[in-house]
Amino acid sequence: MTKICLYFQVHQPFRLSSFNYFSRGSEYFNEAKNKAIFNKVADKCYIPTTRKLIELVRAHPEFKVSFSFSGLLMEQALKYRPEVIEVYRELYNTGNMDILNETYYHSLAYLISDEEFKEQVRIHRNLIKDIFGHRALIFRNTEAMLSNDMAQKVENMGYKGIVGEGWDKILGWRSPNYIYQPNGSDIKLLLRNYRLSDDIGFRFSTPDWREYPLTADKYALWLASTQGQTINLFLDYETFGEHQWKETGIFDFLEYLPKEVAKYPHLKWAKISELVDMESKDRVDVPQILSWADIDRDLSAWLGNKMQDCAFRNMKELGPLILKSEDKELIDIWRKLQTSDHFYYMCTKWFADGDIHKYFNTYMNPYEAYSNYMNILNNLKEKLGLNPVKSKAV
Amino acid sequence: MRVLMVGWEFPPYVSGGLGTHTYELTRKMPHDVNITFFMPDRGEVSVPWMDIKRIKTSIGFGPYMTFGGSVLKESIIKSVEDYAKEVGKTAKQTDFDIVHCHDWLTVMGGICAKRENGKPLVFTVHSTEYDRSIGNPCPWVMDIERYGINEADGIIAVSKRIKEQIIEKYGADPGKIRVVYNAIDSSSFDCGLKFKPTEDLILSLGRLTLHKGIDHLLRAAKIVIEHHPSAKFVIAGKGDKFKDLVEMSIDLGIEKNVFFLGYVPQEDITKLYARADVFLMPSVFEPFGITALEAMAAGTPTIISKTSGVCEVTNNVFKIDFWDTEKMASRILEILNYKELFEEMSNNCRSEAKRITWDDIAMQTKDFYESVLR
Repeated sequence: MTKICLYFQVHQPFRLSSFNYFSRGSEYFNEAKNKAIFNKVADKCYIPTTRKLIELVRAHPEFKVSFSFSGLLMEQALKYRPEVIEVYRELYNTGNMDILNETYYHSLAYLISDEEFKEQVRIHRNLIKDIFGHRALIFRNTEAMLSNDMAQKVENMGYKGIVGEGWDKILGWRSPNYIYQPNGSDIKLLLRNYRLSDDIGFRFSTPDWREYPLTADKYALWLASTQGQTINLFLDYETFGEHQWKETGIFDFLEYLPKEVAKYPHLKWAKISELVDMESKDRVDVPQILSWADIDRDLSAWLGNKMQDCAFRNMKELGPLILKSEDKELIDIWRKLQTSDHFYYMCTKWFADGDIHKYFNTYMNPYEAYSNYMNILNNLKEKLGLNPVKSKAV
Repeated sequence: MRVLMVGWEFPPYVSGGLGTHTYELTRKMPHDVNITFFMPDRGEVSVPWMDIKRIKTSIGFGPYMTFGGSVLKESIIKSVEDYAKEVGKTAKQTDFDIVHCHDWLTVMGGICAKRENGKPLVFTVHSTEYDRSIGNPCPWVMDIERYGINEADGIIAVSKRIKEQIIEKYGADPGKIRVVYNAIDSSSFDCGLKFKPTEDLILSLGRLTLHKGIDHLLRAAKIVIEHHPSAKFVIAGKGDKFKDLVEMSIDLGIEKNVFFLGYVPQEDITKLYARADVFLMPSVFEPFGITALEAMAAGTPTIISKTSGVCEVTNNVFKIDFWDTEKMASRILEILNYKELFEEMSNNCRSEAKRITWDDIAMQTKDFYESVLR
């Protein structure tokens, strides 16, 4: 028996307003843009894909899915498009949908402090309880960050499993299709099969891929011929309708998948929390933080260049003062500035080499992203009575 | 392949980008392309990679003057016609497979050479009268340009903007145009890893004409200086707006922070790039804008207007609307104040400039010659 876990990550950041060096405003987040993008993605992906999943679950009662929503995604849904919450609730109420916890702010809070990390997880847990009445057993850190230490902390917070990338460097000769435990704790590692996941997420509509076009029957055959306890297909939800447009046939693929998988009796759909009942095969060592990003699978998409490190450090340094203020609105702004996307926009590692096709950005380039972030941070600092970041020559 | 190239200026006799362009292009041309270079006789000039023929004419002005008054007009028409006639005569005694000319001053010569020898004509459009005059063109210059565009068998545009413009304003046949950008010999400007200077110096470079947008720069400078009193704006170049711009800086009350250097020789320009914190090219229109690549090669964080050709080939720069003086000021203040921004931009723009080479441009030009000959 091989389980198949289909899990989707859903997130939208609060994109920043455009700030000049000397801007005086306090509207840090671009309401109009965030609303427009949210509605666009809701129409192309969230609503149609979730409706499709509801149909599929009704037609195939054995079909199960799992979801992780950032708090910011839910906040924007509540604000701009409550219908999105409605369809997710409807899917949840079928009983075939599982939900994970993560940091509410889709943040790098783990790198700020334990207290900040735990607090943002607590806020997320309450949100999921409020909206779905669900208590999550599985945790996923932002961008699937994972390390031995992190796993231990997450176990101590009461979680039974943590999501990670099934990356060759930690697995060595071992397959991602088994349950493992990290060094130092007994929490179960749920590792992504990145090859089979990326076949859908990235390669699906690539005409020069030798498997193009990917059909549900072919894919089900691949699943059926894969050895292991579980095949973890972890995908960005926007794969459906946004990264892969409707015209690529991605919805047809999804539609036929349960039917094709049903042809193989040894394959069984599972919710992500059902995986932790299985026995661990081995220990895996993850001394450094692993992520699911690009070819490096580390933190270098968010931190590492001078701009990213400086922006993160300056944001982090504001923490004690802001938290002491107990000003809820201010704390919320500070946490929204922790969202990983802001730091990703400052990434130069593909951009500087001119390989801008690999690069998705709401800004024209990483320098604009950094300047804008720093202009906002300076504005915030001035409001707090602190000295803004400046060269000393003045 | 033998190419007859009709030029106008060539180092050391240079007053604009045309001289640099023809110098680098001919220098890097693959060895199986033999070039004979024609230029008006201004004195001794020679290079090891091609024959230069000095053509006797009555020439006494640079390529980018703006024109007014009928006396001047008469003398320019005469110079252009003289040069064309002489080019035609000399071409008759020269063997070549293709003739290549640059901009309106040389295109008449190119046409004469084509007529005399029955060989195809390639015409590089570096800029147009329509742009140089900001939409108020001198009709007879436009006529010459249109004539050249019609007569040419192949047209090289130095940016997509130029390509679109010669289609729209000059009725060029899109099928015979190819975009080939300018490039940079970055070793002449690269002084190694650059650390943020402490002078707070913002450099701008170019002829002081309407289309260079220096008036917008001055308005931005006023905002910058309010927030950063140690900022110094250094403007190198001369031109017909010199007096107006100096007066404008006085009216804005920023004359203490603005330095008009007038003409600056090349070796000093290289030093200025290295000293500057920011290089700014606020042009209303810039067909290409090679100075931005030079500043990038020196590792100087660069701000360019979106209406420049160089904008189409660079990533590691700030791109602004020339009229958006607030944004322009903000970008300058950011580079002055955010050390990490300076360092990342400096490093990355320097590497980017290294990748934009004349070897590539010369190969693309040769390839275009071949497609025209086919």
